[in-house]
Amino acid sequence: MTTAEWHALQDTFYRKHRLYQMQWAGLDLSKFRIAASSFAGPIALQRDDRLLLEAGSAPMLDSSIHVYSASGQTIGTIEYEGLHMAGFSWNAREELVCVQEDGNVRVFSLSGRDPVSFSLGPEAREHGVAECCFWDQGLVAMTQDLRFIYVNDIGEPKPRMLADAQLTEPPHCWTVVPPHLTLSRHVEVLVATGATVLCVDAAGVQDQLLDQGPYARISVSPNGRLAALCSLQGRIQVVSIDFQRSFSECTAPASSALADIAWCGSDAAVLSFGDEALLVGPFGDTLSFEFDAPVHLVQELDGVRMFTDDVHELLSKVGEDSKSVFQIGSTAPAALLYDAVDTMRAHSSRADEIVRSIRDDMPQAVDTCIAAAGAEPDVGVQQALLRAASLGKSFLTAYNGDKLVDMCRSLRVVNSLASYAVGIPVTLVQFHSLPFEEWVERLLHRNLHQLALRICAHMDAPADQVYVHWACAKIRASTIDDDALYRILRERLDTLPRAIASYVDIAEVANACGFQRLAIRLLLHEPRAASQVPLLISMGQDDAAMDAAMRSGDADLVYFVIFHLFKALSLGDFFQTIARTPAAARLFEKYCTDMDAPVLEDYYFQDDAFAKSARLIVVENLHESDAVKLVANLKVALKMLHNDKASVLEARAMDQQIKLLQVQQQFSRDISNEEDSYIGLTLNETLARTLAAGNYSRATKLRTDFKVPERRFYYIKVHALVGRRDWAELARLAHARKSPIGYRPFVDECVAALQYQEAAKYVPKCDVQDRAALFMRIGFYHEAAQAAVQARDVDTLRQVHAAATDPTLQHDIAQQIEQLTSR
Amino acid sequence: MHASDSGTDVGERGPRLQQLKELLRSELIAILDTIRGAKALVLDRDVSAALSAVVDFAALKEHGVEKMFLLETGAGDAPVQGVVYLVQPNVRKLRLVAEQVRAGSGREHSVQLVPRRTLLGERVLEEAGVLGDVTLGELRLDAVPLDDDVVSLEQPGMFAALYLDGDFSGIQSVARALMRLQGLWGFFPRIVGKGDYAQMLAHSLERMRAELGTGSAGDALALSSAFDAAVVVDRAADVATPLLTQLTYEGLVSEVFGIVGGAVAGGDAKGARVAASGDDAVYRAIRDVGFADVGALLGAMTRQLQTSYESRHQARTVQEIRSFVGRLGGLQAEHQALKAHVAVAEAVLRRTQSDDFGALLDIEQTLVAGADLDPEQRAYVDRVLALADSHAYVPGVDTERRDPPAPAAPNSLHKVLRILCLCALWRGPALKQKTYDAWYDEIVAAFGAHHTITLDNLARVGLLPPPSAARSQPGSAHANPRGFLRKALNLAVADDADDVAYAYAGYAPLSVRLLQVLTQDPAVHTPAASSRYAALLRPLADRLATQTQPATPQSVGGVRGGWAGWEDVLAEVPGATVDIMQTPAADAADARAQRLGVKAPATLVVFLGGCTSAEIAALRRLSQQHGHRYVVATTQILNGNSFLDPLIQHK
Repeated sequence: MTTAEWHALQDTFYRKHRLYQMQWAGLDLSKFRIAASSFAGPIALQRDDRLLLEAGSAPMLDSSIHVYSASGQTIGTIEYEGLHMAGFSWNAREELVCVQEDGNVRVFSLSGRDPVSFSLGPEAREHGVAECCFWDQGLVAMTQDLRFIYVNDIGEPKPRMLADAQLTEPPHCWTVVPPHLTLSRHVEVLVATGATVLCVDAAGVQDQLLDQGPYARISVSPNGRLAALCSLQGRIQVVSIDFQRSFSECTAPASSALADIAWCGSDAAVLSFGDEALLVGPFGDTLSFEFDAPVHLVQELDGVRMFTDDVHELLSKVGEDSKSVFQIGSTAPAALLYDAVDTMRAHSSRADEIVRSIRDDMPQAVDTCIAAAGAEPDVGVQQALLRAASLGKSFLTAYNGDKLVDMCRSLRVVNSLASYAVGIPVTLVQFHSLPFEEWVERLLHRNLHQLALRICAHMDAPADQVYVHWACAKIRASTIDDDALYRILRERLDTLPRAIASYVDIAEVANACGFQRLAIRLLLHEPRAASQVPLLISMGQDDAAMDAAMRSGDADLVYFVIFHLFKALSLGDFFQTIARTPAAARLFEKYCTDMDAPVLEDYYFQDDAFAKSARLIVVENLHESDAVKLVANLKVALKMLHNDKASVLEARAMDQQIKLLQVQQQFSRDISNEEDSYIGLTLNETLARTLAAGNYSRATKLRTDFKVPERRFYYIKVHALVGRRDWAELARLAHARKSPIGYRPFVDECVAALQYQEAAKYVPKCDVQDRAALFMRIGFYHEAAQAAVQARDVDTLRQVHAAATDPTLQHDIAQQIEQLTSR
Repeated sequence: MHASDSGTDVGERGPRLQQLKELLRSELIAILDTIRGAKALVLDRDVSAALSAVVDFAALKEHGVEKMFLLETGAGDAPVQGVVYLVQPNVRKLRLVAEQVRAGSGREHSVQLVPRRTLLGERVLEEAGVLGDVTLGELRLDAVPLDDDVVSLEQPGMFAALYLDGDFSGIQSVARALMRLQGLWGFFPRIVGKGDYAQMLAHSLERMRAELGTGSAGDALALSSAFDAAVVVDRAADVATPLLTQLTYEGLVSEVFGIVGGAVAGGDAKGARVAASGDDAVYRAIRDVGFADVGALLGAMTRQLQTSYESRHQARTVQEIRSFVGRLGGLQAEHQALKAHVAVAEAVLRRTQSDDFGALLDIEQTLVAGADLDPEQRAYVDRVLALADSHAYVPGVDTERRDPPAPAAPNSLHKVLRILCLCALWRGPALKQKTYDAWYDEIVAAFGAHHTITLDNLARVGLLPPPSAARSQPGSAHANPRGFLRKALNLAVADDADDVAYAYAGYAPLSVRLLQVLTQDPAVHTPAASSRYAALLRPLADRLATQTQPATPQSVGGVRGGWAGWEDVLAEVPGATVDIMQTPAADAADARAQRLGVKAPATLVVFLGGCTSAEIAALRRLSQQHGHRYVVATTQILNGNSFLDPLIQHK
């Protein structure tokens, strides 16, 4: 009877289901420190080195960590040597995180690869780690001097300190609130000290101002809304996470001390006291479960697993679906449907009656039966429920059977995971809450390739990871030579319908195991250039790595190779190597330029790149204000340019620049004001400034010395003269000889400076066609009219007519227009 | 306006770019939340515009951002615990970051590389000894929708990076951004393009797809039914277009003021923001108007300004007055905005009516038409060089505008170089060595000797090649390829207001013409091209004979024929020619069969190295004519100045 496992707590039921009879015969758990992984993961045991043992009593005197499956079968042993562990726990990827008391952390994977290790920093090293608290991604460690260090992501550890809680004595207890459960999205720690609880995070410490402590245990619910507090006096309270509201209270049995708290769902807590486990419901009611030996709790998403030396049980809340089918006296359609199967088996006509009575509720009844099957731990009951669903479905014309099919499929996988041999007693809820690949990964950790492959096929999922893991395992275990191994691997991998993804992963393992030739051959199959490069480099295949990087089209990978080569080779060899790949050489050049790296000089020098060397000097001296130094440096650059036949223009410009600087130095001597210095001006600016200063002869000399084209000189001079309003000089310039730039610029400059009288002087010297318009622009309408008549330009004349305000003039213009148009 | 009507119609079909914005926003917020408490945001100037297109300050504030700083200044001694840097993984910028991190120890520093975390970036921080002190991550701000048909790929200065420095890191980022688009809307069934880096990009995309395909997620991504193709235009294939003065309203605003982060650079007279993006209704209606209509447009705007003012007099009854008062706040804001737009339009009009502008335009059109400069035009160039102003405000490059723009454009280096480059490009081998040498001296005399480097840069990227180098161009069947292209692709269109050439008043951008080749637009179907078409039309005609549908040359839109038949033209455009069919995964064959019947409503046009507002306007014109959406994805929105600026050696 299914409901035999049910225990009522007010109107809800809790199901206590026996998962396994533990297979680790005769193990005395009390001698061990225990870390059990959630998601039905492995259980790690290490002999508690602080407990005394009777001589010869324990089978495992060593310090290694023994790993068992949830059914109590040995998965493996982790050789652990070293200091006492402050704490250890499994993370989300089924890796065992071990924190040593000196602050070193080692992360062991099940697959037996070398552990990853990191340190919690100088504070931990100096003072030692006292205790640790973990969550699935990170950890918090308390040092002996009562400071907290946290690591948010064990995969990328960046140890940081939490705020100083100013603790003077060790807290009664403390726990961590993982970042995803806090308001701030950053890790917090709840510390029970004195009668109160402190909330500590990176920014500060907040006293919750409680007075009913001291508390022996704090536990935060899986959704982060509630906390369970257990005081030293044995009072158990469930409060909101801000400690403002209390939801339920009860008193613990006095028999023995509280060992652990775990949450069963988000509203009930399970407490363990030696041989007894106590479930505290949302309203303070309790259910007590007795065991024969001390019980250990493992919190799961949808329940609590409880294991002892002997048995392994799962405690979980009974869902609505199961209730409506199995609750005694239930008349829900699903319950009727479930009964109908039995009656039909018995060939009773009542089956038909039952089905008829369900009628419109049939779809709902089928859905409920399917859902209830998913919640049911017993395979027989699952089958009965699915059979009922299948029966009900046959009475429906338009029912989508996908749900039923999916449920059957998933349950098959879940049940095979839960078998004694595999020992992953996962529930359907847990199964769906992780991606499928994760489960496959977990099987692979246990080297269950065959099962993994079958499950992938069963779920229509790609099995690449299985093959890769298999190949890696094969290589690790192999003693034969590269070629034979390659043949074996190819034989298997070639049978696949399409190429698997990560040959590089296999090649990496091959390389690490000393099969370098195999690794290179495997790499040829890797489609992702990006992953080939680092491995090729680690195998010393520099040229191949550069090729692969270039092929990838990713400049960043090319940089990776360049940096490696730069470090590994002598400078000369490096220059030679990089020159073989011009695209890489340019990237190197760019990097050096941006880094202002002096190595670039050497690079250009050995390459005889004179123009580039010269260029480098120019750029370096852009902000050099000391003219003497500047000239000296540019002379070096000029010398380099003379070596390069293609740089004739540059050389000439550089030569002129040096000359100009020398002239500017001379000019600047008479100038006291720093701002008026000539140094650094361009040739044109120098000209303009000498002109603006009225030093015309000096300008003329500059002009001849630097062979300034006449036209340019005129433009600059006209502009400068108008600027300093030297009309006499302007007139002299205009009349000295015919202007090479015409007289239009004279007019334009005057107009721009709003000097219309001056402008008017030069209009008559402009083209006949332009004069009228120019006069118009400066408001000289009489002259404009005359010029227009002269040019026989009727259109402009009309415009003048429209613009002019003088009536006599208007009259005259009208006449002129008539004359011009009549002819 | 019929134009905008059909515009919205086209806009409703196909990909909804807004989706991207939501994605970017949530990624940004997630990163901000990793730093607890109050924090300062330090922004790379090149990232800030994209950021403001994705979130507003209120949203940032909500997630703890107290203040924002530019990278040049740093967070200084702002009273914050955390500092989040959003910078491109550029060596110089990261060195600056490292400096600031060292100075600000005691704070929590998070450095988010935009748009991707690179080994190079890591290395720079490591060399500076701060890698251990910062949280390094990436913010994939790589495909920012600026409008419903424009996506910015956020790679400013890419042309210079690719062709001057040989630094092709940007291609990978662009490829990742396009993969993101493909992730949302399916794989482009076809990738067509022109240019060496277009090819590199196409290969990167293919490779990335192959890598996805080997994983488990690959099959889930089917071919796109939103995009029929991605057309990749490498800016090197058409360097001349951005150098020309843009002659749409938006183009002119960009040439006169500069546009920064969807607003007129420097704002109005008081420095207040004037919107220059599609979000602003007034601006949206006028941005693509041709240059000749700006005057009329200004008139219409002024009239509207008056009516909005006078509508208060029309209120007679109490209810009317009440409703007017109710709308008053909105009206006033509208009124202010309109006033600002009018002020900007007036400045633009003043510029277009100046002598200087006329002379400049005259030169451009002479060159585009294939003629040489006449003495007067040469005199203009001489004058600009002689009276150069090396400290002038350069729209599109500088952002701190001091004065309202003068009627005549100041004689900046950028202005001079644009003219010289255009001369060199369009005259080709007809440019005399003597002229080039004279220019060389003029530039050095006017702007300083360090511009020998600038000139060398311009020569190396092919913008201002010395005539000796121009003559020895290999593989070209024509003495002056550009002259040939002008005829073959009908680049100079004198009087056709409907042609895309309206955006440059008589010049059709080569980039857009290349797209028109692919879409079999009649505009490129000149008599000279008809023989080319014959080969294409024959199979088409055969096919049509069996069907009953009449053949209409207007039935364009979307990428049709590929490059077939245009080989001789493409040979004269620099760079590799790309045409790749992305085949569906083997088991998705039915998806393709299904797709063949339906025409995808959009084409993605990718500009590697940026495109101008005028080019976007031209593509919008095509969208309307074809009844097909051309969605632009560009590494940057350019004008001639911002195009040249990274090639210039600054002091």
